[in-house]
Amino acid sequence: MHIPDGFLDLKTSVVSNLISISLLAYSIKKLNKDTDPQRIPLMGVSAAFVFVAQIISFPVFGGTSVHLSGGVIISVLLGPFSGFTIMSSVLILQAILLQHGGVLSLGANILNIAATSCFIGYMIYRIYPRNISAAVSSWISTILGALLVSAELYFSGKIDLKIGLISMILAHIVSATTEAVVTYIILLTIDKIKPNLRNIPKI
Amino acid sequence: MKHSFFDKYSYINSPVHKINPVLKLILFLSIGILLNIIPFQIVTYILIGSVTLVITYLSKVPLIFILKRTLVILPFVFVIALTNFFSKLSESTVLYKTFLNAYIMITLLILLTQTTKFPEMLKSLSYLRVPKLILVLLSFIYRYFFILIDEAEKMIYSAKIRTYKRLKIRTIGAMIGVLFIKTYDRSERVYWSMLLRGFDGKIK
Repeated sequence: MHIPDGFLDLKTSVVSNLISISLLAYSIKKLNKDTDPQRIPLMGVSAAFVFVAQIISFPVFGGTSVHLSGGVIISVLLGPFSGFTIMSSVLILQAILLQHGGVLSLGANILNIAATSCFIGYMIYRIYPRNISAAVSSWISTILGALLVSAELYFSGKIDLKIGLISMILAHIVSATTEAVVTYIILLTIDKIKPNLRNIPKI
Repeated sequence: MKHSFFDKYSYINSPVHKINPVLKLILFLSIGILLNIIPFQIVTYILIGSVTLVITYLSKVPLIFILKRTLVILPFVFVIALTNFFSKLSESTVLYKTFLNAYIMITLLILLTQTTKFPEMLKSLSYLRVPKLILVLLSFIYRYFFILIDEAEKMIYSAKIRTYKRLKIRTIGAMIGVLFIKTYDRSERVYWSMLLRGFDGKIK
């Protein structure tokens, strides 16, 4: 869930911005070492793909709908550092064009959505690199993101930790499950139609 | 197919549109920090709120559009209100202050993005030392988003023609998988055309 501006206090937003800026700088340094020139258009069009995949909504019970975050899929396909850079730029564009999330709280949103799915989710996937573990890791990272949101709001002195945790986790269980199922289906489809796409070098 | 662009109102002519985007961005950030620092006082909020209203009036962005877009903050206000209701931990000024801060900030952000053309926004971001790779990715998203959403819409449309039920999650998931394959093929073609125009792997 994207935190808008005005919900985090100054110390929380400064700390989260510093952490995500340093993570981003490290990822870009790693990517700049890679000499394959084809990677830039691949990352660019994949970023547009993530943007589109986040707009397509999935009907769940009760007439509501959820949408993907796509961090685990893109880091499983292209690698964690590319995935993190792609997710961060998608979040920046969502903040400045669609107002999903604020500008001062951008660092917090990058931590909640991009860092959890691309780094922690990818680490879980690397333990046992199969499609099913990508599904599990996307479930875990979505819930972890929800936990981080409530922790950040708690540190800003806005909510009670217990109520925040319970409501955030309840709000995210459906979307985490959908994310896991859809991640599995997407990887299965790619394996079936064009399996050599799983061999893109992962950076 | 028809698309409504993100920066729909950025091409109208108004005094707010003419301000330098870097200045607008810095002003926005400083108002955000200021709202965090100052204590809760009615007078300052009336002042900042009226400044926001004046900017809204000058910018000629439709009010209905802004009001619709500000609705995204409501879930968070709801969570904070829930805390306020169930525990006596926080007093109600926290709720009011947070709500007002968030509302003013999101209105200003909408005004900032709707009064700045996207290429100018990118230019001002590069002036603020945002890394080149991020800028390249942002401009790629802005260019290829409309093409990819067209492909996604075509796939959803042709799946809907073939069934009378609602689409299953399995179908939509497989569609996104196919969309990634199309994305990869498109990125190859984009790379070839970039090579043709003298691209050597370095971002300038």
